[in-house]
Amino acid sequence: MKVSVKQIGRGQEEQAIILCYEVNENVKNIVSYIKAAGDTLAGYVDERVSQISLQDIFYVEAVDDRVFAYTAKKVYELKCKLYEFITLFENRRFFRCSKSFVINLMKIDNVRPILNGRFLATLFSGEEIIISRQYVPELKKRLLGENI
Amino acid sequence: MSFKAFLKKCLMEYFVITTCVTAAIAILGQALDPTARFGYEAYWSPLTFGFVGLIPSFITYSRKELSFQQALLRKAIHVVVLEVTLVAFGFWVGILHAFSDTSLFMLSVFIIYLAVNLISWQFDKKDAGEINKTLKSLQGRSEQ
Repeated sequence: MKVSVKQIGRGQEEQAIILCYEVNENVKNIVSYIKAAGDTLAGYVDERVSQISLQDIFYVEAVDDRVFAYTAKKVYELKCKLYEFITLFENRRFFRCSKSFVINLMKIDNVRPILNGRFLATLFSGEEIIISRQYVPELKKRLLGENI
Repeated sequence: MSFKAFLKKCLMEYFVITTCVTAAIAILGQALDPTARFGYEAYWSPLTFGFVGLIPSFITYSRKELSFQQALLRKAIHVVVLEVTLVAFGFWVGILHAFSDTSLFMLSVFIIYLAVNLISWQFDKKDAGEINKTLKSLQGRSEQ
């Protein structure tokens, strides 16, 4: 595919236009990536709000009634429920891997099986997150089948 | 894990168990009693032992996600119950008579147990390899 990049002035809105013969999986992936690249989310540290780029989030964890997003350096509290986060960003390469964790597929270094049908995902940060047994088939379907 | 998924897993394990039981009978039979002769009813043996061996698998079933320690504990209880169940069944159907038979039988059961778990582990390892490959491709493609 031929790629063209054109610089525009600050007054104009940035946009990406894909000219293709058919909207196949590759095109859908590119669209999904472009959408995710520009997305930000409000995160709170000590009641101070910051904008976090979705791409910087390694994983999101629900602890009691609070939800936290983990980036390489900081932990932000999100003012939403875990199910709301996954509903909004599932098609942005986020995957619910257990009852209380959502993981960024782009931040997984590798996965390996552990006892009882579960997998352990090692992130680029070195942290390890368990992928629950019930979510393993969904991960396989999402990654190996279709619908990335 | 849903109960349906659990039954599907049991079915897959059943075929592995029956194959391993057949292999165990062949190896032990050739080593211990190579001149033995038996009829068609012998073909039921791996199928029956496979089925009886599956019953204690319900110990490992849980709707809730088990922690590593809980899963390990259930596996340990499972192997003990499995041994006791199969030894009792072996005495009941008359294939076990003495302690020497029993210890060899128990060793065979344990080896089959390890084999089934190893095969299951190999499937998971293969899946993990494919997932890792796809993840790398996905991440590499997006970095361009």
